[in-house]
Amino acid sequence: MKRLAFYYDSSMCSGCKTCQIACKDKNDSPLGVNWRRVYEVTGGDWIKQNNAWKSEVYAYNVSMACNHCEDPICVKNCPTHALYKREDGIVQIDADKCIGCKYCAWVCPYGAPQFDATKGVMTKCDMCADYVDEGKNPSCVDSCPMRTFDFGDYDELKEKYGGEAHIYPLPKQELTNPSILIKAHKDAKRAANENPEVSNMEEVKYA
Amino acid sequence: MHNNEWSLVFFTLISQLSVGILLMFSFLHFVHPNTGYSISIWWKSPEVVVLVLLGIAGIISLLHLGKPMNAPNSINNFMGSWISKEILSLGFLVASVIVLFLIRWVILSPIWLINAMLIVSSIAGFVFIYSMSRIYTIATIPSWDTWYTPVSFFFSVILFGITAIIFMQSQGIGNWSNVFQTKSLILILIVFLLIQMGTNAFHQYQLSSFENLGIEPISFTKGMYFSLFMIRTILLFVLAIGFIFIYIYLPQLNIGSVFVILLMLAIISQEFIGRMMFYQSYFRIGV
Repeated sequence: MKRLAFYYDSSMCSGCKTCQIACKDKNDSPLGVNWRRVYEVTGGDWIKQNNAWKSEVYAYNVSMACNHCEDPICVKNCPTHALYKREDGIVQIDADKCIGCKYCAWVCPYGAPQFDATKGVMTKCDMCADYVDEGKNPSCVDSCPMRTFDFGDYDELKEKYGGEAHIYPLPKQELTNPSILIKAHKDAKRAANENPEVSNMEEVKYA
Repeated sequence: MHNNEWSLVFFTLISQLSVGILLMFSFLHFVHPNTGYSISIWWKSPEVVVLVLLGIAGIISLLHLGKPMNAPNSINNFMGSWISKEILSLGFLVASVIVLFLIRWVILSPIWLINAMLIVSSIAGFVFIYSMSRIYTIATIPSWDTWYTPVSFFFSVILFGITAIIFMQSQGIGNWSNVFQTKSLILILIVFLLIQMGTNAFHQYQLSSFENLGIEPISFTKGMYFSLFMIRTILLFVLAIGFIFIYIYLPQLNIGSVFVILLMLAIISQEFIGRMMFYQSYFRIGV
């Protein structure tokens, strides 16, 4: 079975959110439904050294959508089988089966499934499955002006870039084995020890 | 608390009440057959009350769905999803209680069959509540994925069950004059209230030791959650004292008094607060 995956370079990401907008535009998502979201992690402080103040602040971005996990907790727990995994590893929702119970949104540690109140069902990133079927990349991947994304087979991406799936504030990968590889920002390790805030929560939730 | 969770609060509480009545009725039927449920037609057949409550709970549960018309799909994943298992066990519970009602009052079956069906219904009720509690034990939600979730669900069932029987007896339905039986029930209730206080406090202690695991701030030791915890603890304490008072003065006390009704309302209130706290304690690992 194939395993399609995203690669994301957090160290290169400027946080412009073009990926978020490209996704919203492609999928015509309503207000409050963001299949791809960019989290801004900000931490650190100014430290006084003698008579001077030294900056020890840091900030980096994490662009996150559904990671089409190898062991998807949403698929396992969906009571209707509306959530299912395709042969190529893409996790999709069959809106005709979905009851809109929102349980998948409760359990997913990446906040991927989102309730579309206008349709009454859960919706989520499908890796632009129609584009993938035509041999194209998902819209977020091609839209990035910084070229922080790549897309393809997990093993090939792993060989090409390496990377990891667990950087702050993402959960440990053992939970669901996500199909994503991330090049961590240099301050991600420091953030993991300090638990800094995500400073744009309002934007993430309601954009 | 999100709006759609109100319907889950009511669904859970009403389900627990109905299973509590069923389990207590079974318990009394086997332990003390001459319970004397013969005054009211409703209590002559508690199955009807259980069925009506389950019906109301079922209708309320539909309110949190985005597409209620697709509700029959909710049993599709009965091998993997606890929601599917819960819905199936609810269906089995309803069917078994209907059969119980029919063999008791329509077909007039022999007592062994009624006993057997009462046991089957009770097991179905137990499985239903267990499945319901398992829905909330999720690896990505550490505050729910604890021993406390199933324990609190069954505690609610027991408290509601005993309370319903005592309330019923206090209203002249059943055999209130059986002081030994009523005192036994009150004693069990007091013990459970005290255990409830202890488990709540221990759970609160465990929650307060949680560190931030996600991006949302966790606050179990301040704010709304902690206020609710304090109110619930005070209510449980008052209830324990109130029922000790009833236990001591039972034969002389006018048990149908406002005092008893207030205690019943306090039981319902603390359970309601408990459910609100449960949903308030939701936080997920990750983003």
